[in-house]
Amino acid sequence: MSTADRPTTADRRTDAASREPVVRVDRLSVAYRSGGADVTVVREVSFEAAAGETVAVVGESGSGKSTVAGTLLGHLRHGSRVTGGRVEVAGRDVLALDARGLRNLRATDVALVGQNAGNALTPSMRIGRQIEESLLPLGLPRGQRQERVRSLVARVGLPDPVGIVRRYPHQLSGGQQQRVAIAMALAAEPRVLVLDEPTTALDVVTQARILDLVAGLSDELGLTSVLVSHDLGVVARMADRVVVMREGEVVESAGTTALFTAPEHAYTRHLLASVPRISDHGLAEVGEDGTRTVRARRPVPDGAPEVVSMRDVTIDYGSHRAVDGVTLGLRRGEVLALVGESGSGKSTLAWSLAGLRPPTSGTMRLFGDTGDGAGDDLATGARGRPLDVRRRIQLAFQNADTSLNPRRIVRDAVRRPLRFFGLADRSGVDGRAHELIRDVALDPALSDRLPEQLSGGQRQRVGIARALAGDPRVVVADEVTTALDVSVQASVLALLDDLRAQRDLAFVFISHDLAVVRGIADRVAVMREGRVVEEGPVDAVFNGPNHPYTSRLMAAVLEPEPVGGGGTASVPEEARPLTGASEEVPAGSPEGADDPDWIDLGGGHRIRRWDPDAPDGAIADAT
Amino acid sequence: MLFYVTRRLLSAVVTVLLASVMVFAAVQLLPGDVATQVLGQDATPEAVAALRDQMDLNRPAVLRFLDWIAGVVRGDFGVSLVSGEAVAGTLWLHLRNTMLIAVATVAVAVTSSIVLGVLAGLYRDRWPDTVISTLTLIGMSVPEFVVATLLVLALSITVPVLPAVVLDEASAPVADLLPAIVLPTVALSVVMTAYIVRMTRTSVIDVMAGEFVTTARLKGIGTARVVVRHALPSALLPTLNVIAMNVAWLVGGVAVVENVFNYPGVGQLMLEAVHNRDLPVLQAIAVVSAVVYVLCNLAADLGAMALNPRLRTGERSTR
Amino acid sequence: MSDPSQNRAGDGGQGAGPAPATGALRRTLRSLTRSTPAMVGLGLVALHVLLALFAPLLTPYSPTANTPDQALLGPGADHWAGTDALGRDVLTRVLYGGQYALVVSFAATACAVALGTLLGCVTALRGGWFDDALMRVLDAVLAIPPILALLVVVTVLGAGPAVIVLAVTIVYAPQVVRVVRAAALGVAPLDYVTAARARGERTLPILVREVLPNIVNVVAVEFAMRASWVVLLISSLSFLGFGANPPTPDWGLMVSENRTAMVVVPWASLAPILALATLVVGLNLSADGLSKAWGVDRVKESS
Repeated sequence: MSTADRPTTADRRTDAASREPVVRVDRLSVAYRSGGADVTVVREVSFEAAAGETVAVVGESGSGKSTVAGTLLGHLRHGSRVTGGRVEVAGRDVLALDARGLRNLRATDVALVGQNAGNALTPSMRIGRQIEESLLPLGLPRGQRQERVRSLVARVGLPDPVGIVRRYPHQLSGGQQQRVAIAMALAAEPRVLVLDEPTTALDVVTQARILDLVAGLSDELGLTSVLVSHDLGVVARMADRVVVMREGEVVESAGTTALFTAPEHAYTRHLLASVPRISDHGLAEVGEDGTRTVRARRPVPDGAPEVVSMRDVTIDYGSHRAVDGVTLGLRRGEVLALVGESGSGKSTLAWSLAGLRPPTSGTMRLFGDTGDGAGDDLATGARGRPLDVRRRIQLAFQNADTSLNPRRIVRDAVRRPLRFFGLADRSGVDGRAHELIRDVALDPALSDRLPEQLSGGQRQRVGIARALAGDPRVVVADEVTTALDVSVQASVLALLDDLRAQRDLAFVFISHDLAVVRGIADRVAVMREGRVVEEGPVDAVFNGPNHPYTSRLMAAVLEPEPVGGGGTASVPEEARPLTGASEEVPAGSPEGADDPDWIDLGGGHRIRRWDPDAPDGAIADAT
Repeated sequence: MLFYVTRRLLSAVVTVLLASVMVFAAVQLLPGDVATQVLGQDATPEAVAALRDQMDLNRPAVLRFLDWIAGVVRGDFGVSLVSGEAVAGTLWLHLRNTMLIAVATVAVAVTSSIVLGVLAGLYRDRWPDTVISTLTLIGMSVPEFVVATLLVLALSITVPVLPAVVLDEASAPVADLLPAIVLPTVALSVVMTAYIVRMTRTSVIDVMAGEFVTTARLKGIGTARVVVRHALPSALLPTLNVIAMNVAWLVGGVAVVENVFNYPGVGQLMLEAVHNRDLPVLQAIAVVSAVVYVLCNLAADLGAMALNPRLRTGERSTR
Repeated sequence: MSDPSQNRAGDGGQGAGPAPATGALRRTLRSLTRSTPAMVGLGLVALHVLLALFAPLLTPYSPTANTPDQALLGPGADHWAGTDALGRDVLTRVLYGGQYALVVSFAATACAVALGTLLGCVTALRGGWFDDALMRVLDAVLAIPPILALLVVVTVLGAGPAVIVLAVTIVYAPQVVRVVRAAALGVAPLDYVTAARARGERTLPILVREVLPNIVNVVAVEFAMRASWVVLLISSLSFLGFGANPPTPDWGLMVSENRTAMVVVPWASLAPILALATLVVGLNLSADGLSKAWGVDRVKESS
């Protein structure tokens, strides 16, 4: 197809009802060859997308949604093949195209934006050249191509269009890389845009910006989009219609509003109910049939003693200051959430607490329930701490794939800390290990298995059991549910909440997901560039008023609710404008004025003062 | 970037120095008396004493090493114990001859192996790959002396087109040596190609399965362009080091092949030196080989910088 | 992302059927046995071991005794591969030659890989100045061509199996260190190692319990690959006259001895060449098979 006979943008923006579907997937089946047998990954999947429409394909891992997306471009993973059905894009039978036809289809009609632009851009080519390449099939002269590249770069909101085209991918931030990928996809003015988890690798704020960009551009260009995502918030924000997939099959397909307000299939209901909401005042519990009840938060008793105290903790990596003067406390049985974007120093702080990196300066102490009240020093590496202090603070990790030694069975993983800390003798250790495995709601029969024989959620539970083996007082949980599917995440969160109640455990809970934090935390500390910018009880922080950075984080949260035009549904309920200027004394905080650094809002809610003239409280725009 | 290159140069110098220390130590400090070692057990005490004198063995080893290394820096590798001539002159002649083979081998082996490796990688598990992989497996599994012997059998004895052995002196003009380098070059190329092909193939397969190559393909541009512009720079990165290693190996590894063809190169010189226990010659060869090794690695690093902008521009990545 | 073999729906402790922990081992074996090249490779190596072991039972001749009246015979009923210039049965010498090649190569490879693995792991975990210094020294060792290093050691210490084992260890251990170090560095930052470090465990237990079991595959592949190089290097050394001393039956030596008589009795050279090549092909195929059997899993994990 040449450029001349393609419909112009204006032509494409006709009324939805009268349009022919641009994408039509009809009873598509894909099988994967594994160990000599065909395994069906996609079974009889059908859906359509009309011109200008955005259809979301949503599902958990293993649902086959990405495989379906690939077939729209005639792309299959090595070892997979189509076993039946038809895929039609822009009037062409994709599966029947030869190599040349496929190339033509990809060059002119359909483009893909993948999950991780960092891996999708060729590291050895300047980004200008990479965008320009997409224009080659159009047969434009060089000067015009470069002109187009510059206008594309400007259009996707990249700064300095002239300079940035000479950069290499590694010189851009994650958000900028994704913008380049979008420019590359849109270069040849395709009719169909396939978005495969386009924002999963990004921070929330960047995610919101990229989604705005995509939504704006596809409106403007009248693009037909197929969005693949596991994130129901993203789907609610972007899609006109939603196809829910599970284990290779479509379980439900409906308009976005209909699907989110009245899901028909039990799986969809369950899925929707499992998503934590920023408005929940506690953890959501999901019944088998998808009913949703919110578990009331158990308040920390007023007299709960402090277990950990951090004062002016600073941690340097060479010349880079990762954590800058953080003062925080943690009480017995309390969940303190550390929130912030990547690079905010939240993980560094937590790992230091766990003894993996001593702080450069400041104090960290652990208090016992007995003793003289002076507490034990934590400002040392793990080896510098007495065994009895070491076991009182334990770590649980984000990535279920790497948190367990793949060569050791589950029981060994739990047994090792028991033996190491001298909490069980040779004869009693297996019994203790089994108890712990049962405590994290796992079948003890799993204890002879290797990690690879477990699901992600099961592995995460084993990691928690291992952390519990030292009989800790504090568990540092670093994004423990981030990599899990929503339904699994809900059950792991419930487990953590139960454990805290049963054992009076305190958690330092690191997360970038504010909705999860709202459900599980008692207190929240928002970190940015190594500093705490806001700290307070969870409800106070979520109700506001807030530091502008916190507000921005909250505004970026996408709720699984299609609210007219967009799903950003988290405007602080009783927001009062703060200017951050030092003379300001917010109502209800009598002694807030004399602190030069903090605004005290009472009840333990405090906000770091900021420069009211700088946008967003002097937050550099990194995306 | 300049900083990086300077640092690499410095570390190269350190490597050569360390290697010299080790060779010197191995040759001069290990068990027994060097002079007796050189002359054999039944040498007369007078001869031993004379040699000790000639080799300065009565001075502390550290001083001898410093003297030696000072000479090396000036291009003076001492005097051969056998011929009594300066080592440097003989060494440069033989090195020149070896370089003839080495350059020809590198040219043949590197081009053919990259072409074959890329082909095998692109046609993974199909017949071109099967053929290439089988051939490289055989190439890797047969030592150089076997390849050389079989070549002699085929091209010098059965069909006598090329000389089986070289009769030229080391000092023969380059033009006279040219016919003699054909068989050694072929023999060495076979072995060297086999290793580089395997590496190239693996790395091409890795890169071709990578996300950015898939992305480039899904842009709808031609396969040739995808391979050359997107895949090759990254695929050749790991291959560079293998090539550097192999080139460095050539300088010592030619010993066997030169022996088969009686070719007057460094390898032959080395074997003679070992036979005659001509220690100054051995030390000189070791230092020169170390310099070649270091230079090859340096070249590979510079090549890597050309292929990988991340190395050129320094780490400014956000992740 | 949608790999069916990774399809793990659901969570919690339900549905835990009995599944033995040896699953990984069994899967490795299965993928090994399913790979024809790997089986051919292991078969070739096994065949060589058996032939070398039972050489005295398989042939009536002595590998070293000269029988001048039988010299330079072509292949026949009495001497399947003919005889050499000294009237020794070529096949017999090839069979016995396997003993020397296998024993010396195995010992040398084992020493090099053991030393290399130990140093590689320790330096990866220790890091800091120790790592810097060691890598610098090893780089210097690598700068000297293997054959020259070998010849220097043999010159200084005299030829003999023990010296050759030592020399090969010196020459190849640095390369093993590099490979193992890289593998260990890949494991060191993983969360289960971090967990051990957070417990305050010492370097040695971390090495033995957490790191080594996870790089065993790298070490095994390295062993097979390194063994093939060692066989080649040792035969080259013999060919040059610095390895096995005559009249020891050795393949490299045999090629060198019979090269001049190649036109008269080609089998006297070809038989040891064939033996050498099949052993090395076997080792190479085994190395490939092993790395594929584990490598496939690695690819799956990352998908």
